[in-house]
Amino acid sequence: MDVFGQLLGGIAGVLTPTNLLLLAAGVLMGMVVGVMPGLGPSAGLAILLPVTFGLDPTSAIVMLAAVYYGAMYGGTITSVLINTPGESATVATTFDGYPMAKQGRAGPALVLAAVASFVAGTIGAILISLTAPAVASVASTFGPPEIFLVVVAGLLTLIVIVGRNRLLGAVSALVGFAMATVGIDITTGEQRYTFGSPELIEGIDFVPVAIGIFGVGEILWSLYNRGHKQDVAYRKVSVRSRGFWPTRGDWKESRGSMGRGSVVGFFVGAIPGGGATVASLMSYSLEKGISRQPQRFGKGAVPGLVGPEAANNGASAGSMVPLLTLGIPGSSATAVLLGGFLIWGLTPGPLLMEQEPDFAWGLIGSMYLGNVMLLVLNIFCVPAFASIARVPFRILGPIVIVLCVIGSYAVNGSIVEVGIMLVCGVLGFFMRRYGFSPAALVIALVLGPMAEETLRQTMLISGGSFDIFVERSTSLALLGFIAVLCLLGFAGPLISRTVRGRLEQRQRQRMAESGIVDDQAAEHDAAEEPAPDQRQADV
Amino acid sequence: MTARWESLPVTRLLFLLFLLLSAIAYTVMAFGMEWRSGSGQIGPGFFPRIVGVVTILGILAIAVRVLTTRSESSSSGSTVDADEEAELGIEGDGRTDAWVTLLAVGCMVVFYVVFEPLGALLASVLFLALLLSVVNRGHHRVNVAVSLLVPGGMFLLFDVLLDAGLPPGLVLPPM
Repeated sequence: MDVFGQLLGGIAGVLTPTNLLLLAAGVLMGMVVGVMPGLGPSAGLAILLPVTFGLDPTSAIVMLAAVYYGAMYGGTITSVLINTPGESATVATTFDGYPMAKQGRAGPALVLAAVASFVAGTIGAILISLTAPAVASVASTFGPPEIFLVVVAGLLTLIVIVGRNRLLGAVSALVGFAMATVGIDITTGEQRYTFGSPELIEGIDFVPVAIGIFGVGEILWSLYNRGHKQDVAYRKVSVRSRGFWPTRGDWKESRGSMGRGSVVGFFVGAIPGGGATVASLMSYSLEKGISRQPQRFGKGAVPGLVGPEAANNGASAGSMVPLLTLGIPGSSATAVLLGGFLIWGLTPGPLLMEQEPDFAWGLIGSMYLGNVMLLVLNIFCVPAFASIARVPFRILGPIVIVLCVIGSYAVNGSIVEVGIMLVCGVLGFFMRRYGFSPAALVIALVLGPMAEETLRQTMLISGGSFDIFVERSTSLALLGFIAVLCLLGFAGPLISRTVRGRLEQRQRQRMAESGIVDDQAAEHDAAEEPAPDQRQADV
Repeated sequence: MTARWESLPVTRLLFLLFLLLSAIAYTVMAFGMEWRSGSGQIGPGFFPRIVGVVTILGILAIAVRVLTTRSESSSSGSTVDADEEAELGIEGDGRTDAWVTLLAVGCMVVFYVVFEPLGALLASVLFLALLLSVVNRGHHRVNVAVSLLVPGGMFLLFDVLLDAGLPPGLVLPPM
């Protein structure tokens, strides 16, 4: 009961007129960024982070939480209307969202998606309230050795779960770690890799790197893929049209899917590296697996739309658990949020909920309010945002680059950081081109200093001996977990092939029983599998 | 032999070479730093040495994989790199436009160079005009309108409303 009191307190704490305006502005700006091809929540947060620097930490985080949800929903709009997922977490939305739009049901699809997001946000806020204090109380017993191992485990999970090629993911994370070592060494005061530049003494700022990799890198990638030459097949949507609202049957059909998607999304999102993409695809498979009419999936089935939508929002809530309680960002978007926390002088981790309860619960409350705002704004503004999706990429792309340059200059007024941002943009492009994981780089850049600092503290405690990791029971348990992760890294592909084979076999049997032709199933399964690169992009 | 050489993924290998050389330079510098401090604690070179060495090994492993996958596909007579891309977890890219990407990078370099001397406003106008003339060819009126209105709006947002202190350059006085 007490935790719900804290949640309500957090919501009440952010319910000021200024914060409500910031929420509205954040949702609107997030949706604007989210409807741009290739730009998802992480890009939206990175690009708009500088806009929040003039605000106090609570107001800033309120706005960023709103940007997060707005950008996530922006991706849904493009998935439904133009069959182009703004980012990988909304890939599953295209499977049934776009067929619904093709049937003239774009309005119901967008309304159902917004309601699913809202339901998931509500369930997510309740689950955070229940789980975060428990995780934080366990994590508060952690010392530097355990925190170091948690960071290592977080990165390993990210590499093992995400992407088909773990080696590329690992090298991406190592590049991020290498970038994190630039700057002055805290213990000895020695400069590392600064080349005499005063701008680099304090290290490579995370914000220009994130803006470059997620913003400019994505734009270059879209240009490379001839995004500027593509004209979109746009589906009209209007609030005034008769078919804008979902039918009673739609609501009835989507209730269960929303609940299941929310819970699956929350728990998958709470695993570092799990992320919204994996959650939404899992939810789609689950809905299709338990459906009495799996043949309708891919042709505009309502559960195929609302399940993944609820799951990707549930995952956003779930990813807050490791962020708030352990200081480990589970996704690229939460890595950007972590960067924002550090800029505002807040250190997420087990003590955050104890020492800064107003902030922690305010963040959870603002995430919930962000969902409410999203629902309200969505119903009135969908046609307006849908029209942004009609602006061709060849015009939006250059504008985003200008926004990235001005935004990264605005952080510290440094032209060197603009240079770093542009170089990271080009690096991000090549990383995407050759299958590396830009998100792993950014997360490692954020976690690198934490890993180094906690290892130093560990060595100070132990007098330079690594035995400390096996002498403490919690460390030993974490080492065991890391060993399991490493084993999964090797055995994972084999297990996943076996499980997938069995599932496909069972699906074929069910379809054969219900009289579905095999080739339809195969076609459907092909549509279900997203591009591996897209899966990798979200992390 | 010639066929095998021609089928090499040159740009991918060049990118790996760039990463490898950067990692080697990073590691060499790391070995110039102390592994342990005078008091026996972890020195400034501890982390960079580990990161550098493991990165080099990782890049070499990727390069070997790229080359072996390639040589297998060329010995089997296939010059299509779709299998390798799937193996490496990359999108098969279909039709691409490297020149426009290169031109965009060129425009970004110009933007960076003139950003402080010309000021944020003028540099943004110049950048948008340049890049739009490449990617949105022929739509002159739209390009001019976007090039003038968008930087104006952004300047107002960041410099006037958010007091970000953008470079005023030659034209505008500092706000």
